[in-house]
Amino acid sequence: MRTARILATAAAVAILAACGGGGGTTSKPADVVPPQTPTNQGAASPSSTSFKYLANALKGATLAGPVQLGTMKVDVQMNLRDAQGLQSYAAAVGDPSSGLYRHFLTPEELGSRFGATDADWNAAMAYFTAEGLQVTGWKQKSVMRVVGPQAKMEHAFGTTFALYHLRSGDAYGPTALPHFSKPLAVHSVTQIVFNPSWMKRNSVAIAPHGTTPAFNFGIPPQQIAGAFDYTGAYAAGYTGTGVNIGIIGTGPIDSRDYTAFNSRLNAGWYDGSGTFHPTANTITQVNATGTANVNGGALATPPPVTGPCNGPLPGCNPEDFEAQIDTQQTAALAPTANVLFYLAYVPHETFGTTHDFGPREGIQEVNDEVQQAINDNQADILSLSYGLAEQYSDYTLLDETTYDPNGTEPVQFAMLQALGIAVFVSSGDAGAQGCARPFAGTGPGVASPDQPCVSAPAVDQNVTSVGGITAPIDESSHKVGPYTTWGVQTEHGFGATGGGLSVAVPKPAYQVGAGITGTKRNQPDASLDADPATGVAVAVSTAFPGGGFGAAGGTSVAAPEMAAMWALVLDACKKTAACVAKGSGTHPYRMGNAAPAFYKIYNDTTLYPATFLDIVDGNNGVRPCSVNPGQVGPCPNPSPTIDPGFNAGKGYDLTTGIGVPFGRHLIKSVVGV
Amino acid sequence: MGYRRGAILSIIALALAGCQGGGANPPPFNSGNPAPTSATQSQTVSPSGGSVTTTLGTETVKVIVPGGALSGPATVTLTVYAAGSSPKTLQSSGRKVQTIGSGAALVAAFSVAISGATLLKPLQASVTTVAAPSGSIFRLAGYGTAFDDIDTATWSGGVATSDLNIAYPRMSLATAPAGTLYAFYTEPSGSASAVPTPVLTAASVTPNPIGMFGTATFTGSEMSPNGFPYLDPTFAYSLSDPTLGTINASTGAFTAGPIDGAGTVNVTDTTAGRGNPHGGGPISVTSQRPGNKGDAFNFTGTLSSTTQLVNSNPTQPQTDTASVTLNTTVTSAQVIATPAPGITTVAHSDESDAYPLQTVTTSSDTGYGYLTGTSAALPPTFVPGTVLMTETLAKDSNGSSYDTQYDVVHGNGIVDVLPEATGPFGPNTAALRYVETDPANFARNRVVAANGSYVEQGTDAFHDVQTATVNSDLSASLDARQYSGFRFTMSAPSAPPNSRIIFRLFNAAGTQLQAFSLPNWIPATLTQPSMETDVDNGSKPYPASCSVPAKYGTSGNQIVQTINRADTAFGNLETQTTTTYMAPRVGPVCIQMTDAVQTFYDFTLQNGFVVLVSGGTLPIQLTNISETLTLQSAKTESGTTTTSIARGTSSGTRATASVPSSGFAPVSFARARFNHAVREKLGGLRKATFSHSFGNNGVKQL
Repeated sequence: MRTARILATAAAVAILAACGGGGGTTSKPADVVPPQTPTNQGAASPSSTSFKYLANALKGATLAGPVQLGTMKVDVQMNLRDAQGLQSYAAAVGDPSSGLYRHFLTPEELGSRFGATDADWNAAMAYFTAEGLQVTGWKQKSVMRVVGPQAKMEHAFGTTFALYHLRSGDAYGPTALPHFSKPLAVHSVTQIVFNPSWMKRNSVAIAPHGTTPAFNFGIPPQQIAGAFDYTGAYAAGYTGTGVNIGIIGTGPIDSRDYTAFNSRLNAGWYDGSGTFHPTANTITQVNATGTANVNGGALATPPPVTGPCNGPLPGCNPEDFEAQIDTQQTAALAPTANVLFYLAYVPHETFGTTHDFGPREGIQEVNDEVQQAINDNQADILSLSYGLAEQYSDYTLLDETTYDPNGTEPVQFAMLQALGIAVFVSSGDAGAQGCARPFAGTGPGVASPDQPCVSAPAVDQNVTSVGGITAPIDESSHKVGPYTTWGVQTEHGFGATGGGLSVAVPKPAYQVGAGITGTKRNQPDASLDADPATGVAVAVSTAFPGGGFGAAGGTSVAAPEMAAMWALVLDACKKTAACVAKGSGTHPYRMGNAAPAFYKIYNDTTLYPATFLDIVDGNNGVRPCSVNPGQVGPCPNPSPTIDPGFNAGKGYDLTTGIGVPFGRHLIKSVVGV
Repeated sequence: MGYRRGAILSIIALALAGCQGGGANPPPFNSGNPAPTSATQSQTVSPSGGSVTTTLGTETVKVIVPGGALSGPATVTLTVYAAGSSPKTLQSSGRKVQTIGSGAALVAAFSVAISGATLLKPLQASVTTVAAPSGSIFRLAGYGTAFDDIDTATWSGGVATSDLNIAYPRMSLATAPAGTLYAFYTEPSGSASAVPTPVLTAASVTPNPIGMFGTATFTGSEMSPNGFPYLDPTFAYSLSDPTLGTINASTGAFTAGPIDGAGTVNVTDTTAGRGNPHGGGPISVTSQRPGNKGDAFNFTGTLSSTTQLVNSNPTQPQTDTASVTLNTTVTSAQVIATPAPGITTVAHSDESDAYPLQTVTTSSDTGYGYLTGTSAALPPTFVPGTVLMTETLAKDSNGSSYDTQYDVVHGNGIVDVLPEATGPFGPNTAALRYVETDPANFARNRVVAANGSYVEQGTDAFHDVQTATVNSDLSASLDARQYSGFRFTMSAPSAPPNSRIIFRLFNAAGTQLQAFSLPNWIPATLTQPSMETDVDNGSKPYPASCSVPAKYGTSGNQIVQTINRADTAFGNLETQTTTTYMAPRVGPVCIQMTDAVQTFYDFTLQNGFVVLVSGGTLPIQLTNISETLTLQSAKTESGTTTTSIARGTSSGTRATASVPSSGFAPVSFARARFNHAVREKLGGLRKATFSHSFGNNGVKQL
């Protein structure tokens, strides 16, 4: 029933507009969707003046009028020379039965084997440069970032941009079919149609300490560590030493918060002799500045953070709550790991002075940060805590059901896998309606937010999708109540762990076992604590008035927790010759995506119960907000009923995946020590 | 020195070995003379007395059986051996040769056997003979293990009869060692051998060492050095060291004292004229002290907990089961003088709880005070022998530390004593202080009174304090204003019928925001926050779930402690049962602990950003915790033993005694850990993360 519903809904929205021609702000707005052209669909280097973009987002939109965007930024996804080959290679390096298992590449090798051809790359670079735009590229030659004033962008893309009213809020978009003035090997362009609010941080913030009416204080990292046996790994000597965990930043952080976090919560670990050690991380911000900047480069060092404020950059640049969660959870739970915080910043990028309700930096630029991580090849692990509806990412062709292996996200995560970098992505906080997030608005162009769908990039084949549970534990990490799916029992339908079936992404070969259904990607893969009711402590803006400690939940908590646990696994691998011997290159301890290892364990009747706790209770249904179409922000009048969502059950289920890993035993099961 | 031979007096030459007379045992004496002859006479003698007379040649020997000497009709057999002449060498068959002292002369040799009844009084013997030479005296000797039992016989009218009032009056003839030959002889006056000192002993008792307050009856035994028992001594008993305990002077009934010690139970024959011969027997007392340095115990078992939501959002039961190993070593035992005379003992325990998904280890040090004297600083119930579990300080692998104090300041110090004194709690009470410090700077401090009422203060990393209070009348409050801005109160249950509890919510200003009238979930039998019963059920088979090693037998004394608690602040109704099986001579070999909890208020937020209260009889959550620990091996300071962990279990049971000695410790360790596990499951309010609109709908009645 659920699958049928998904397909029916997908079909309903897969209506492509057919009219074409460039237009201006004077084009008939009404319900006209700018024309689309067939995409390149992954073919090798078919130069074309057209490209794929998120045209469907404007379906049913109303043209509201001109928009003043100031500086614009788009990401240009090049046609790869062998997009399917990249996907195949990514699958092989994660398959123990393959001769390529853990034969990881370098960024340069990625570029030369799979990236755009030099000719295509250079042609595109020359085109945008000639248009007076700032262009940034990376070694892997996959994505090209283009930044410039609105007028130059309009000239380069052969269209003007206007403001549209969507049911999910305003967005800017082209008034005519965007195109190049000459053929380029460009596969797709993101942020031609855009609203920053479509990018969801998968976190739920609880008011910080000192705010009224209630003090809310989350679970400190030691208690999470004790509950899920990070402590056993610490005692065995695995604390993440020498492992680099990358955070794809959704906004700025302030390292002083982590200092305060450690100090206030006495963060650290106990070694095997019972001796306490304070955390000993290094947190390094890596600015996504690219390596091939043209015209001065659009990427710049982000401005310093400010205290809580409302106003334009750079004067007002408050810390990002999500980014603080990610950083603090990974660092504290992998207490000797190095944290690389990736942050991209585009000066003066705004959504217009009257429509600047989006984040300041980071969240719009996450793909650029991922590109930087691929380019640098320094992070062994990446933690991502954001998402948007899979139909509105770059995973599908315009029919929204056909997988696009040359899409920006499929390519970048396949590249990360080819480098051996494990990626953990939050599965979303809107339960079975992972794309809708009804309590915080609706997705772009969604006919009805009351539909099951999954969040991207958690849906990717080359990432580990991390869901969430409710984990009632006490100060000593003891379980004081049943562990359940984060869902209706605590959120009463307003939030739940993302989980469900993809409509486009094929089920990867490694995802097999009891309870796994269909031919598409099932998610999540595994889970950790995420329920805001059992949320974790977070320090935000502690150096500024109005800041302090609070609590946070959401799968944005679970993803960095899982990333930290995997850092302990890699630490163990580094210290185990037999494990390192299975790898190759400069990072022989890397294992790539963790999900294949998870499912290998899942299908081992001995290892599974000794590694994962199966979550068998709960449901990830959410309360739809369809009674208020077009609502942006918290749903003021949600539906009185809760959609059923998916039930947790024995073995794999679409709420918590295969369950909750426990650190020390995960190391034993994966590394054998 | 010569000896007389008269016409009547026949010197009985002792029989040669192997020569038979009248079917008696082989003649034990060898005089070197020609093969002796013998004459035997058997006579049935009634308990009222009688005699048996046997004549061989000119000598007639008569054995007199006094009235009351026999427990019933008996056959008394008297064998007289043919006398020979010199030499004066007596040789017992298979034994050493004994030469009669110079000048002595054998008069008659005989043996006595009694069958069919028990000899209760000594016999007398006489021999018809002639008068000894002037200056000589008659002696009666026996040849048992040594020929040195000498008594004086009185000669009168041709009959020499064993004396009644000198060294060995009423010496039993018949109960002497088998093969004993008696002989009358004479020796010159003034040459009589010194009367050997009788040997007095106190019968050994089992067990020895004896445990604190253990009882045993010592029985004196008086014999000649040759092993001839005295049948009617009057013994008086005493102790070489009065701290060993007490002993009944006339019956020898001993009750061990409370402290370690070793000494002697003295026994004296106070029969007039005997010179108060005395002797004694060793006694060693082992106290209730938890153990001596170096003692070690190894227990294994399982720890299981099951949680299930049954009301708001029902779940399946979720069970987590760990394999447990508990290794305890006594690290020190020191004598102290203050605050009271006693011994302090510290035991270190390492417990490993291995769950399928993680292993939690806990190291703890437990202190015991063992009183050997009294102190004005202590309650009068703290008599010598009291064992106080003063404190357990533990830390687990998650970095949490917990300190449980049972000392006299915070508790009554007694963890378990049987039998209970009068009253519902007896000497045991719920009093204790519990301090927990968690790795993220959380702490809580609970002080529990004797009846289970308590005050707990929780402190977070910001030093905010919340206070939970449970009162004696079962009313309660939870002041979380510094955490959440709210305060809860729970009234004492109203009187039946329709007993209710009023659950109220107040804001920081003290304004009541909500009030719920809830059915009283506290059983009427629970009249205070904690009540305890202890029952000694006597010997019971070990349950199969204990898997007690065969070396500890199949049954043991079953002690059942049941504690019922109502935590009216957090809404927990709890029944905790500890069943201990005490193996005879071993101590606790299996400890089974269960704790069943029904939770009627839910502050865990696992049901959402609200506090739930049950509006009916159905609780919100069920929590069951159980642990079984079974003794696998033990080592005392003297080495490994597989049969006893105890230094002095007084008996196999605790029917009248406190927990046996070192067996006490493992029970305490286990219970301390278990109680912590229970507290963690019922920890209550970790934090107060309530809904932003808490004031209006933060509490929801189911």
